[in-house]
Amino acid sequence: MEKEKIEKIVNKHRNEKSAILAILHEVQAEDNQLNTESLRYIAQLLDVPYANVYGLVTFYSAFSTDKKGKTLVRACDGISCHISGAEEVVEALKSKLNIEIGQTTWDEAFGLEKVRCLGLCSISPNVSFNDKTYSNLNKEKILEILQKVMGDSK
Amino acid sequence: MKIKNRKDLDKVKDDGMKSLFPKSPQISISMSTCGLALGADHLFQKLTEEKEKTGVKIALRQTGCSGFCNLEPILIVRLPGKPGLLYTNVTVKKTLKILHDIQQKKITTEGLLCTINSPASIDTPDIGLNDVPDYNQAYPFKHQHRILLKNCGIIDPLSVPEYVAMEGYSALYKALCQMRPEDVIKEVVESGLRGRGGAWFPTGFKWDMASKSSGDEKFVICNADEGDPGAYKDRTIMEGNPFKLFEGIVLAGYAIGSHHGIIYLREEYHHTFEFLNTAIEFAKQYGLLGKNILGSEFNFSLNIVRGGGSYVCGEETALMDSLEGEVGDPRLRPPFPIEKGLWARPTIVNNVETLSNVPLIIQNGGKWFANIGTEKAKGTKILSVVGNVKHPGLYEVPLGTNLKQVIFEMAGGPFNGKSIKAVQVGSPFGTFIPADKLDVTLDPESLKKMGSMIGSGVIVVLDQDTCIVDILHHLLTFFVEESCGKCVPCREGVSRMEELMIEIYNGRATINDLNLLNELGETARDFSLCALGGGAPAPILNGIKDFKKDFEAHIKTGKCLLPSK
Amino acid sequence: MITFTIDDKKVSAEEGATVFEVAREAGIEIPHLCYHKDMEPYGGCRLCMVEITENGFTRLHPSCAFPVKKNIIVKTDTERLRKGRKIIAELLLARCPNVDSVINLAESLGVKEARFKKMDSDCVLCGQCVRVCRNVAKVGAIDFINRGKKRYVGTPFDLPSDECIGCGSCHYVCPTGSMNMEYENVLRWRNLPGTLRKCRYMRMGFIPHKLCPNNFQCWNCELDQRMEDLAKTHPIFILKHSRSEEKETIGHFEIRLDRFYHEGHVWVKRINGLMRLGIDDFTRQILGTVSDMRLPFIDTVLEPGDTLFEISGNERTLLMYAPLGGKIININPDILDNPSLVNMAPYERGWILTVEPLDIPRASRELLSGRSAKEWLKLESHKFHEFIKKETGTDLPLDKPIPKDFAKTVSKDTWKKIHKIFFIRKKKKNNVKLFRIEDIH
Repeated sequence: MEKEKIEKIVNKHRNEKSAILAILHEVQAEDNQLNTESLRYIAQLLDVPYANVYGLVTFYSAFSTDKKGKTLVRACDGISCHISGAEEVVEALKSKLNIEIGQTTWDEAFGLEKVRCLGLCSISPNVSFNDKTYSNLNKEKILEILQKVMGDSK
Repeated sequence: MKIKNRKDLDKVKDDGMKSLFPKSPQISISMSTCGLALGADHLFQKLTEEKEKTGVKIALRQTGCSGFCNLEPILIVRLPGKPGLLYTNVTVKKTLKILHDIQQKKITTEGLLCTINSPASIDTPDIGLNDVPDYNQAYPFKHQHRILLKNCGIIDPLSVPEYVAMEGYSALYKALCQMRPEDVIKEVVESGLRGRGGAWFPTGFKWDMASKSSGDEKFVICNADEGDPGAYKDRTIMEGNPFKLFEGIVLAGYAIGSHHGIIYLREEYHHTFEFLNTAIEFAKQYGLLGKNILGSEFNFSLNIVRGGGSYVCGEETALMDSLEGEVGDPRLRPPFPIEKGLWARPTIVNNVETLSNVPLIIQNGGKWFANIGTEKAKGTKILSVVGNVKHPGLYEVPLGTNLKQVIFEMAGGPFNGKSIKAVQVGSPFGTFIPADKLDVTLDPESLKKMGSMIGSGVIVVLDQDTCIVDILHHLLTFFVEESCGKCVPCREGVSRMEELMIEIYNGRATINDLNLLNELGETARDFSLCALGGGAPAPILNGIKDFKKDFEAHIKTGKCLLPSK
Repeated sequence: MITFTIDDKKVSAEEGATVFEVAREAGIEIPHLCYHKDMEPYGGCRLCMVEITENGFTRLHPSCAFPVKKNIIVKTDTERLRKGRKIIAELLLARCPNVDSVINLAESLGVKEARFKKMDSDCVLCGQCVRVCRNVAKVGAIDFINRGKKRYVGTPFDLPSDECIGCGSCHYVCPTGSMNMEYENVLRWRNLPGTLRKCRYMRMGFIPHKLCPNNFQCWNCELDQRMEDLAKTHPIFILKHSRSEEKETIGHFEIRLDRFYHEGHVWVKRINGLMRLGIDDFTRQILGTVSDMRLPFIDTVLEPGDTLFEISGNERTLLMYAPLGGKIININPDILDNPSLVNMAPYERGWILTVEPLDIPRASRELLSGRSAKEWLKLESHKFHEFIKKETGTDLPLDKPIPKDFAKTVSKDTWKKIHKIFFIRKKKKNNVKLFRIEDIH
């Protein structure tokens, strides 16, 4: 992300170190990743050590230094989803996208993650595609949805 | 308009009543995270299109989550002179039929679950609705004692007037105009309210100590991290009745002398974040947050901070570190947050459910609240019943309700005629209670006596087709993934327990390894820095004891007792 | 003095001491790993846990962090503690089976073998290197990466650090001897031209100016040797004590040394090329509380001496003037909701405005900082006390903050005089209009 944009975001949060989570969320939302230059500049603007900012990015699951994939597929693995058949949904996603958990497809269109929990425990299993969530899933339904999302993104 | 006095408040209440009892037809669709996940936005769009096409005079509104997400999408019809009508599991086809029927001045009965007769009931009984039960007599809402969830799924969550019409903000008005901060604390102490996030610490006592801590600047933190898998009660309150939560937070601030509140919201709740920010804007417009609240001298500002995706940040000291821009490593105690909390200032950290109880306590009195529940645990508890039951959802019951009653009478028991293998109360740290020990009352003391805990109220029902060893392993992977890594017993100990559990599952372990698990578990339980490492062993160690046969089967044969697995 | 017992032995200590330190003095050694006498307790290894009975309740606490209390009963060597320490030692041994200090620690607790799958780490994650780099050397070149069992200590992206100054403190405090500063960092300093090569003592703020003439061979350096001899310890720990704190009190007024001050009692702090302004503790104590404000609009162009903002409280007002020229970029939104924030945290979250300065060098020249700011505040404090004595006959105490309702107790006339003498620094024409908070929203 260009320096001016980062500056704007940091200024919006009043240059406060305590707002670093919000700053990282915003920068990542636009760029789809948090790379060296962005992190270095954020550290400089907030007057905190660069290693500390990197440590934060690696601690919190929401942040990634790798490119995340244009559509982030998050499969819920909470206890309710687990006993409702989340595993078969995850296997279907893995095999259709041809990637493992934590990876991104070669064209960077999709990334696959496990998350706990999405707070929709009475309609498990749940999977979200970026900000859109789908519930009451099974193998057939998720493949249908994936097909639609893949078709839409072309 | 900013509410500055009683007159303004009454005017807003009138507006709310007009909104709940409209002069022309109104359709509300539940548009919380769950509704959206089941297609509510698509429904809303289709309704809007149909309305424009046909030119029918009907208002399209929104409502929030009721806790029974498997009844979504939910639709409420409000017709002049009639009680509200609540429809469940609506599809586009059903919705269009309802719209059509409204134009024909007919009432659709398909999918009609119940009528809504609050805040006031319609006197003239309606023909055709005699068989339809009222909300409080309809399943799954009956048997419950819905005082916290009263408005969730009924009113428009972003409408201040509708909340005021349902007695909202009368508590805050009373406190700011007629009570001193000490009086507010006195009521909360008298109520016996205890923290609903899992620690069950007496709230009034915490507030009293914080109000006495020295320091000009104090903080109220609302812990909305809700990391316990299976729990979504906080989301329901935030998306169904956010102003009730705000009212509770401002009351907390007034009580301890704080002028700044922060809601720490779980990162995974994307929709809730946007939603709450909108709700805060509305609250400011009505003078319910910011400078001179409700026309008083009291100022209070509230903002929302999104977490970064870390369960351990639900622990109060790790939460404070996270708010300061650090990683969520729990702090050493002493010093306690009420003396030295956020930025070393006196701080109280309370759960969403705890704070939502406060307006009720101030409005009706501590004594009223103390009449509900057991001797040591007062009030209601929102139970999140999930898993292999017919009707999963949020059941709000008085503390002390029997677990069996909740599972069988309220949630319908397991489906497909299966039997229960175990029930975990207080997930993820609660023990798995075997099917023959379910006759226990749901309150912290009774559950502690049998070695379990109530936690944040998550009840996971497992039927006879569940492999306990697999579930316990799944639980351990959760703890290993979410451990912060600061202390040795949790980082090393719990992860070694997980390694052992895999070996057991795959038949590569010996009976001795069960002893090793016990040793590791006891050390982690006693020596860990925080409640994550301290609480993780309990379900495992109890599970080994209570389900010894399952473990032995895996150790000896590498296969489950269950034929299917 | 606080008296209590450790292992049935009566001991006494000063308030603020920890159980671990008192035990050590009494000759009782408690096993430990992440404790360091010169740093704040970390509480991560959990080896130093002891049983403490307080008011009838017994709990386990880390002794390195538990402050002494009256009449507590401390037990350092019970069956439960011994069992737990053995398991912890076993876990550490499984993690670092080839590290001498871990092997020795385990043996001292009676553990020879670990019953777990062995890793091959040489780090016990005690956190000492991270803490010393960040809090003592104030560099922060290394930090914890990841969480849980994947946690390790390293640099961003595992690349050689640009920030490391080669002081060697991390290596000095490491209990396993595994923390090695990259030699490349030392080389990098050495390869700088002589005029840029900075001595590590200068980098850490201990001495004002010293370029390394010694090719960074600290063992050959007179200064370094002197440090070692004088303090008989690694230089890093002398620096910790000699470092000046960033905030100080002059009499009973607090001053922050990381910013500039204007004679009208407005402070100016530079943040990335913009100037942030607020009121100082002197103003805050005299006014007593801030219940309302009047502020200018954003985009207003200021000249030094224009009216800047007005704060009111305790039935009194203070109009304050611009210390520099520039354009107003931002008003702190938190104080619009909550003006009392200005009173509660005047140097931090209660800041008031951000200004884009016209002429930074000029502004910096005309404002006070460091020693000159301290001397100015000393004179102001003296002047204020003298003034109040003359006007009202009251002798305000020199060591306690001004009473909160002070402003109400002086007459309106006296207040006007206070305002004129201490706060008004205006220029002849001032064009800046101020508005109520309600109108700013």
